[in-house]
Amino acid sequence: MSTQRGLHVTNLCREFTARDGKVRRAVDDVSLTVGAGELVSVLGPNGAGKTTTVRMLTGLLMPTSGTVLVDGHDVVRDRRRAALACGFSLGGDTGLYPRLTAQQNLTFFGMMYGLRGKALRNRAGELLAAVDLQHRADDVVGSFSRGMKQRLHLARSLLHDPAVLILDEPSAGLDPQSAAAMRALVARLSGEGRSILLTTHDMREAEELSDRIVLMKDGRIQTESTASELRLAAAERHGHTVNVVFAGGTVPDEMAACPGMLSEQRDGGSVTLRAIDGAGTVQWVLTNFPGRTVSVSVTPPTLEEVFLEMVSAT
Amino acid sequence: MNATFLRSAADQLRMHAKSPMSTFMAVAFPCAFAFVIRSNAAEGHRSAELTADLSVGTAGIGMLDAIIVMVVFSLLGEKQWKTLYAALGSPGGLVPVVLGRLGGIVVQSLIALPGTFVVLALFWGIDSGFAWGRWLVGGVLLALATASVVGLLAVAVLRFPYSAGMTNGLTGLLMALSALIVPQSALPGPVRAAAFVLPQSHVMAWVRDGALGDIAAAVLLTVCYAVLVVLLVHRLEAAVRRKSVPLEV
Repeated sequence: MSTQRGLHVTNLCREFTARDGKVRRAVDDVSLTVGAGELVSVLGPNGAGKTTTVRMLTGLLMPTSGTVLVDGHDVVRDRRRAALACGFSLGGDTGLYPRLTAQQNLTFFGMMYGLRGKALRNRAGELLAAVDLQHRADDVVGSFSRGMKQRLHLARSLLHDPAVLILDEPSAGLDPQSAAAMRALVARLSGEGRSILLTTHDMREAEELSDRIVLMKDGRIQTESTASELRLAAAERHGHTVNVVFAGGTVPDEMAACPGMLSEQRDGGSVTLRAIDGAGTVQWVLTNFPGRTVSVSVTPPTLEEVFLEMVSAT
Repeated sequence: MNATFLRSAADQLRMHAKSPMSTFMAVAFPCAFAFVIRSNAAEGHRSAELTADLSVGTAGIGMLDAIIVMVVFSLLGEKQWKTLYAALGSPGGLVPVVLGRLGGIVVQSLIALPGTFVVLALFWGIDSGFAWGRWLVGGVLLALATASVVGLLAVAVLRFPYSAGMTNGLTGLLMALSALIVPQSALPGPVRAAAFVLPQSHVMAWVRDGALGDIAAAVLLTVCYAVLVVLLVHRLEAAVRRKSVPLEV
């Protein structure tokens, strides 16, 4: 056993061989670390290799090569200990027994992790309360909404109090209110010192929750950084968005002379432009149109723009 | 005994024991079958009353059908609900869950024993020499023996997407090989040889005034089939992890 806490992935690869003998590499040389108390989000388009990676991290799929250490335990060589250190939620409408109650589901899954008797009952009750399902503990899961099932998935993954938590799209398909509640729950878990790896298509979720973001495409990690660093790096390539609203409902023609402007879009008295130097552009506007501006704002590219740039890059 | 196994068996009963289909398979179907057999039997060939071997054999038909149906029903449910991935990712893996389901199905199928007995006894009356011990012990052993053999079907249902379609043929085949209605000695030569490797035929031989050796053979074969099922589930786990065999429909 290694003494490394959290999740450590090194040169992870997974190949699939088709019936015609053709080998496809679904995950290619992925290395990442999620330290104790850290939350890392993995973003990528469909087919990027996120789910295959998650399945290898949770021991559901053997890597073709590379290593995965969960709280110091190798998922291939020391599968049992790695499983005890790892909680995972694959989310969605499935993965739970619809004919059993929430309490019965948690009891069964808890037993798989060695929990017994009163300790298990207490833990299940505690987690049902944590995910706000204590009032539905004795209802069959088949009657639950998707949001409730997602919360129960999260409770299931926490039964054995794992140090590492892997969540595959925990808020997929949830209404905004349920998604916000789920994000708050995940943020709380991260605050408890767990290492959390999250896959998501929700940029807001990734940005709000993550210490770092990993962008995957074609089975490889394209980039890994904090959300703000990713956005600022994109701003250096594609500029900031500067929005200026002018008094009087018209944009002065002189705006066209703004230095460093990459593009411009006018709408009545407001203009939205792209400029490499956002602060310089704001300064130029305030200097050249004193007293004529109602508001000026500057924002770097959104995470969604960063994501779309990565996806469209060949 | 493994707690996950016991809980899996209990949950099997919670989820599926109320199914009217399983009760029908375990009671109504074998009773109807027994009536057809009895009405076609030559007069005087059998005693008029219900004997232990007829009672166990009839229950055995119900058990066989119910176990096959419930194995398919239960495991296709697991595949549809994608619940086996949680087991696969847990320290104990799939074995205690799948074996627990089979254990629950055995208990579920036991309804055939008193269920068919009551119906047939009401129609025919009970033979004065009815061997109660052989009826009870034989019936329970038959359920265990049948489940251990049908466990192979469970592995097939989990491993191969469309294997559930083979179940109808399997019922007829196992019914013939298990010597449930006619003694093993009355079976044609090649069938008798095949019946010899099935524990059910040895259980039935014991119920039909057989010796303890028949029980020993039945128990030994039942254990062998159960061990084979465990090994095959382990092998399936390895295949799922290595080859990404789906555990879902």
